[in-house]
Amino acid sequence: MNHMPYQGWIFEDRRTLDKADISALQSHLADCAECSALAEGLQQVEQVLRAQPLQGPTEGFTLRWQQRLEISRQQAHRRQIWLTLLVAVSGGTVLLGALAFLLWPWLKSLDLTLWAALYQVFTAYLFLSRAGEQFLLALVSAAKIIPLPIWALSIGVLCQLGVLWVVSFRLLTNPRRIALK
Amino acid sequence: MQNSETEWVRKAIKGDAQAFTQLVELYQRPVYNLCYRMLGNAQDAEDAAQETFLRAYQNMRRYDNNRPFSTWLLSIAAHYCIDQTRKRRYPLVSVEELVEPELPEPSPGVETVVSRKEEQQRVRAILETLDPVDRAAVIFYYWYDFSYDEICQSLSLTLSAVKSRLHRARRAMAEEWSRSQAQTSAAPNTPTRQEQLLAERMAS
Repeated sequence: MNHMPYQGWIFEDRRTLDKADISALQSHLADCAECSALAEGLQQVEQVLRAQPLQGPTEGFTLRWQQRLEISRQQAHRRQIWLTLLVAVSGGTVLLGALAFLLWPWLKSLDLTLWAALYQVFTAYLFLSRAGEQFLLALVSAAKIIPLPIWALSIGVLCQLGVLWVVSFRLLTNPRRIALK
Repeated sequence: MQNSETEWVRKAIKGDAQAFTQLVELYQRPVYNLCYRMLGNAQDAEDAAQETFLRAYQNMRRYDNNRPFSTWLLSIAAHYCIDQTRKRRYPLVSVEELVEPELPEPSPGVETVVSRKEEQQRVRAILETLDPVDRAAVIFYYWYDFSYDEICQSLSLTLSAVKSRLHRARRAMAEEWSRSQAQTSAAPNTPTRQEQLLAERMAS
């Protein structure tokens, strides 16, 4: 017996078949035991599937999810810190390598380079000490001009800005937390 | 409910974890059920459902408001479960279920409960014979009453692919069902493992 179109129709969505196909299928099912068994099997499976209830998780699923979210955030935070460190260390290494390459001719005559470096440090020290003297002079002159309350106010504002910076830094670097039930 | 859901979704897109928690509360059952039917055991289903919500939370900005949130969420769950199933080389059976099955208390209706459990095991066995994508299509069609278009969207398939996958899955399920029916009727007096354990419990 030829089952070809009928076995296709059995597993089609019945709504897509027209009346002629349905009646041809029904008359074939009445004659053919093989197709009839398949159609019956499908009908039973469909009934069982539709009768199955929705399975639910055990109590406390949402709480477990919140804990998992928190763990995932902490992991992401740690990953970010490691990534930043890695980028900084690799950047520093590349920079040092490039610097070594550039300074290679000087590094070959190390004594001369050391003397030159010492001279640079001494020059910088002289420059800074002169600048310090000038700054102190300017400060003493300013102290005579600016009244005491303005000084107190400026120092107060600077302290508050410092506190604000520390608090913001803490908030930005710590992972966000959500309330657990 | 629909209004609050829209509100929670809107807030969750902006990164409000508390609003997303409400969505977890609302959708935990359908998502878990999909994972359970796809993976076949409670532990994997729990992990997959948790992972689905985590992925959804992390990708909330990509969510398209024109699409129902439930469809989007179930689509994430389906894709995750399909990947997990493909990673498995062999079918997993929970050790707990093998060693100590959840036996019903000896009370009226025990037979009904046992036969229901057996039916569930048969359903699980039948679903496990299907290809993961076909299984997802069947679950969406029979448990969630998804239309063909919704299944297309959820599984990123064309309409003809969905139709042909469902057709193939129906045939495979019908054949498997008839085969298992034939086996059951061929050995009617052989007690199942559950029946043996139940008899032992009632005797003690």
